[in-house]
Amino acid sequence: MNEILACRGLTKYYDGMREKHVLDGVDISIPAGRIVGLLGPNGSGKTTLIKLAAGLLAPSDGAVLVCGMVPGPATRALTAYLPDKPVLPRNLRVRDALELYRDFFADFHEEKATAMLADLSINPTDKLSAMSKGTLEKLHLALTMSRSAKLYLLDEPIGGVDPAARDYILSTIIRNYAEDAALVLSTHLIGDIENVLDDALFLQNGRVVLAGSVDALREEHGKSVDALFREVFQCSANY
Amino acid sequence: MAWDIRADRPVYLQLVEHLQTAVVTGEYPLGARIPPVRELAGQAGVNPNTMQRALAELEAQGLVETHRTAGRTVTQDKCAVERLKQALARSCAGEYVKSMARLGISQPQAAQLVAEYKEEEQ
Amino acid sequence: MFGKLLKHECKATGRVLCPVYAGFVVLVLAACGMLRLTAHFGTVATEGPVTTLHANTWMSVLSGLLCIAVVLGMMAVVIVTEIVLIVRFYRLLGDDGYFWFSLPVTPAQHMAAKLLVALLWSVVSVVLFIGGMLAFVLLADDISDGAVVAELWDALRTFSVQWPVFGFVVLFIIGVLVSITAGTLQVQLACALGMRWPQSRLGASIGMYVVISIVVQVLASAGTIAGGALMLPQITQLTATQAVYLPLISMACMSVWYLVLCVVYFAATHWLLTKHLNLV
Repeated sequence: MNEILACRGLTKYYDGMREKHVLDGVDISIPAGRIVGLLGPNGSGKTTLIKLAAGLLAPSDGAVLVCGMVPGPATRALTAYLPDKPVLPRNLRVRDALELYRDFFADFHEEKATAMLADLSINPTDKLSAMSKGTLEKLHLALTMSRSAKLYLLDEPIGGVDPAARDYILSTIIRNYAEDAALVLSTHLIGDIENVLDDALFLQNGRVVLAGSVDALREEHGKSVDALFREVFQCSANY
Repeated sequence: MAWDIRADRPVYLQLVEHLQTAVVTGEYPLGARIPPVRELAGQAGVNPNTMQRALAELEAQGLVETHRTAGRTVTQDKCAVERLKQALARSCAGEYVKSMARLGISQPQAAQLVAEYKEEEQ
Repeated sequence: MFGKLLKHECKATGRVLCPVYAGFVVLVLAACGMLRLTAHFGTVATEGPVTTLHANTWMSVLSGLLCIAVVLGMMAVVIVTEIVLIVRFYRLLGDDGYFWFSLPVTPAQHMAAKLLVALLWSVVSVVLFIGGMLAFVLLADDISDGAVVAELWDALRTFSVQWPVFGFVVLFIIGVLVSITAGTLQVQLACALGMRWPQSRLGASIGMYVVISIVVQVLASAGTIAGGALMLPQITQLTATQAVYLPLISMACMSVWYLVLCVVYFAATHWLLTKHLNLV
């Protein structure tokens, strides 16, 4: 099974808001060994798409398939999901969080996680409630990337962290690259991550408006994906 | 030499150029081992697939060889490297000439500038 | 995987509840200790099951305060337990869910784990509640040199010999357990229904709980009245010995009713969490 993530006519709307489709007929196919960026302004449906793939939401229409299966316990064992906000119970210590991951994920490599936490100056005895938002995000990232999943879903992984941490996160993504896995990350800080992406998917109002490999887009449009993004999504100035 | 990947050109082309320069300047000496793809990609901060593509291009150009057990090494072929050096030099010269022409400086004047520059260096 | 879920659920709830329970036990011991001291320095008058103490004012006051504290504590133990369990499930369908629902665990397992742990702590809280009362009874007994317990024991023995009463007590305990289960599952269903209004999830969940309660109440009343009307001819013809079994039957019917509710709640909640999960 080479297709890690597939969306076929994926549509999502909320009851009582049927006119506004958060996602509208999205078709995507992401094979193994690719690092894909989900790019779009706020409200374009990036987070919703990721949550559908993670199985936290159910589609209103169409389908989302992870390794050919509908999201459920089987796919969650293969999916490493990093939400855009810290979600581990706050009253834990770091070593409790390690225990949680060890207990529930068979593909969790504790040594890898401990090494990463040491790099990030996070101690096993630190309390989550005492950590800053940036440190919590680094902790979540270290735990997520220490799993050998088939699909990595990172929702705004570099949004709230300082530039040095950003570099660390990007080099972690590169180091963890596996040919049999796919990594999907959503962001609007495109300039920082462009070089790391294989492909870019532009989402606007719940639809894919542009898709292609980063190099092909640069060659075709003669500019960076970041610049292209600004062009495609420019706020209209009707002065 | 730092990897300076600019934003407006395809990454893979820039990687090829960087690797070519590294071979020509001797940063990767003849016959030396080249670090594995993932390590290079990490150093450059780029996608491993793109780095793989760049290395494949270098292999196609005969500058890099892949061995089953030893990984990738720089070629032992001095002539190939020399040819590349000349090609890169010609390309730089071409850039210089074009820049000078854009400024409206004639070729003799441009050559004079080069000589003067060298004197200042000494 | 389910075992791990139970373990973590116990740990997480235990972290909050165990200190509360420990505090309560300490309080009961302190109160008993204080009363013992007061009794030692005071005079005790026993008239049948009633034991009264006459002692120094400050000792009496302290004893009295501690007794009040224990009574409040008994209520607090039960209330705090329920609140902690309800909040825990409510949060599961909120931010906590981002982590828990990303685990390779089925919604049924999540629900079952939360239910079992809820039952565990509910039973513990009830046991502590009874324990509080028992502590006072034993203390009173101790002070009155065995008079109180002797009375209770006599009463217990006369009744327990008759098996309908024994059966009633057993059914009563089963009924209580099943109704606690139904209550917990009702909370789960209410929270699951509340997910459909993400903007005002709390209000919706509470509203749903009220609605379910009303519907169940109406159905139960209708059922009881209908059943009573249907069974009236048979009931009026019962002999005295047969009539003794009536409380048993009604208790059994109640247990069955709650069991049916449990199944319905669980199925509905499971369906909602599997097909219509909506974490925002």
